[in-house]
Amino acid sequence: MADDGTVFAILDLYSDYALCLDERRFEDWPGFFSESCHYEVQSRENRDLGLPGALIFCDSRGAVEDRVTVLRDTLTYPFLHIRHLIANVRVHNSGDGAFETSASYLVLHSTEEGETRIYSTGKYEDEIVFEAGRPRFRKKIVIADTFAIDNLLAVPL
Amino acid sequence: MTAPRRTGLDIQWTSEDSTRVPFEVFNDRELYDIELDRVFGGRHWQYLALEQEIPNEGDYATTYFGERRVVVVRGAEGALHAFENRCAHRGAQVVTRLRGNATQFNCPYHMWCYDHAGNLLAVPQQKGVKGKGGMPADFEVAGRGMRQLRVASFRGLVFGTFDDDALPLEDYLGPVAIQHIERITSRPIRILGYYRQVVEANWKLYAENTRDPYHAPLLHLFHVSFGIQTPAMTGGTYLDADGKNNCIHVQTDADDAKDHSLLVEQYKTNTKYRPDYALRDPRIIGTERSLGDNTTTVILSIFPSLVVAQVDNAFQIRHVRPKGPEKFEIYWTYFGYEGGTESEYEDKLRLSNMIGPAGYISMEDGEAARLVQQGTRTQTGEHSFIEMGGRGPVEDQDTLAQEVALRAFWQYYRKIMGFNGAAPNGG
Repeated sequence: MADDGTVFAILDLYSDYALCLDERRFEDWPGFFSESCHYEVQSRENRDLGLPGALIFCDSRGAVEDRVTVLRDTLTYPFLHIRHLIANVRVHNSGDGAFETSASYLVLHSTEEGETRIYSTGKYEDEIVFEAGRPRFRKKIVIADTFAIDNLLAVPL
Repeated sequence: MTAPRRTGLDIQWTSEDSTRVPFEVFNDRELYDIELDRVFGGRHWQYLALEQEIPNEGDYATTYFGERRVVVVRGAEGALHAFENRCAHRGAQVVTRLRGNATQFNCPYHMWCYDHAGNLLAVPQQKGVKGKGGMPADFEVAGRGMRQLRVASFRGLVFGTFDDDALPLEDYLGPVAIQHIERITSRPIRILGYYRQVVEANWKLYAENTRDPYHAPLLHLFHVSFGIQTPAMTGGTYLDADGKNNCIHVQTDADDAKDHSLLVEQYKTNTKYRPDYALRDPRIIGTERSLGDNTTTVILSIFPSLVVAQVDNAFQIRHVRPKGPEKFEIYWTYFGYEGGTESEYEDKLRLSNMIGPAGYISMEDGEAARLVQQGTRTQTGEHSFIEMGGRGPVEDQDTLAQEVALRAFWQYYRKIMGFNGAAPNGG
């Protein structure tokens, strides 16, 4: 079992992750991942069918950083205020210094005119490692129950 | 003064060659209801599924035909069936799961029982109970099934129509569509996944988008920066005889070579061209061509609701499902090919980043449609301006700096809808 300090550090990681995206500090987002990492957004539909096609598939830290570059400099997408609510974080077990965790997420979008809608809900299935004493995602799999995507998925979940 | 609002088939077209499209066609409810009958019905074939999604007897998949719920089923001896998902008794939806396998279909409400083709097999208590009740003596199950579609398959793509008089499927598809479907299915397809993208816009704005090569290197920076498509490339649009099915195609060749001075000139009024732009993980670019040729883009639009596409080296089927006048869903089937190398398979996993609602290229198409919807949703008596590539009769194009296939689409659409009143110039 993970000790209390580890659990607190992991809970903090999730809170910091949510704030980073909500505050649109996209350049900081790759910093939540370890040097060797995998980030993937899957639809619940494909997951249940055993199909590998992902909504977002980043199998390197470079690919994670590319998402940010494209998001910042090139993509056309609507401005929205984003709110990530991450709950039910569980640290399942550990091995080789890594911790397998899961959590539920809810992402709300609010327009510049103040209207809010539920954008996405689902779960995270993650692996966390500590690098220089700080927790980082070595693997982050987002499983979106909301796989009928409202318009587009630009800002990562 | 604003002109009085015209609705339905009274909406006024002001140009015979469809260089002007009245904005009401994107937001009018009355017109939309007529479309559900004449476009998403009538003699049109619509894509239903891939054969490989229902390989075994009893396998079924649900889909939409316009807004109608349809079930496509594999019957005995490989037969393909499709029926509207509505009980012949009181109208309940019979098949409630998205996909599955069934030996028969029972309506959940009163357990009316149907076979794989949607024929009614049995009605509980037909003869009554203890000599009382039951159906009238002249009731017969024969001929009382769910509404069935005529089904046909081409290269593994299953289509249906509600009209027995519809042209044979291959005649409906026509040579342009057939040629490009044959190319894209020249290797056995391997389904990699599905995506669903819900766009708050009229379905016809997406029909325009997929027939518009002009926007590709302007809206989609990714295209330009990595040489997938630039305005200077070889390509154009093929139109079929009646304008309904069109194909944008782009090829690379040795001469495209990055003529940066030309691109700088073309992009001088915006910030979209970024020659300094580089990917930290470039493995998504320049993957080994799955079909071996130099084609980098194929967007085949088959009226009314199917797109068969290649974007760079990512292959997809997009099924457009209208959800009211101001909403549609794109149901993506992303596929690679059987029999390739592990490296081709891994390329395809990375290439998923290009397509679907999170795709570097295709996420922006939904947004473009949404922006037009926002711009036009209250408009009446005004119209779009479609003259890139010229006016007058539509014909095949050998340049990407045009939007002629939009006009081909509109001309066919106008013909089958039968708008009242002639456009000026005798249209």
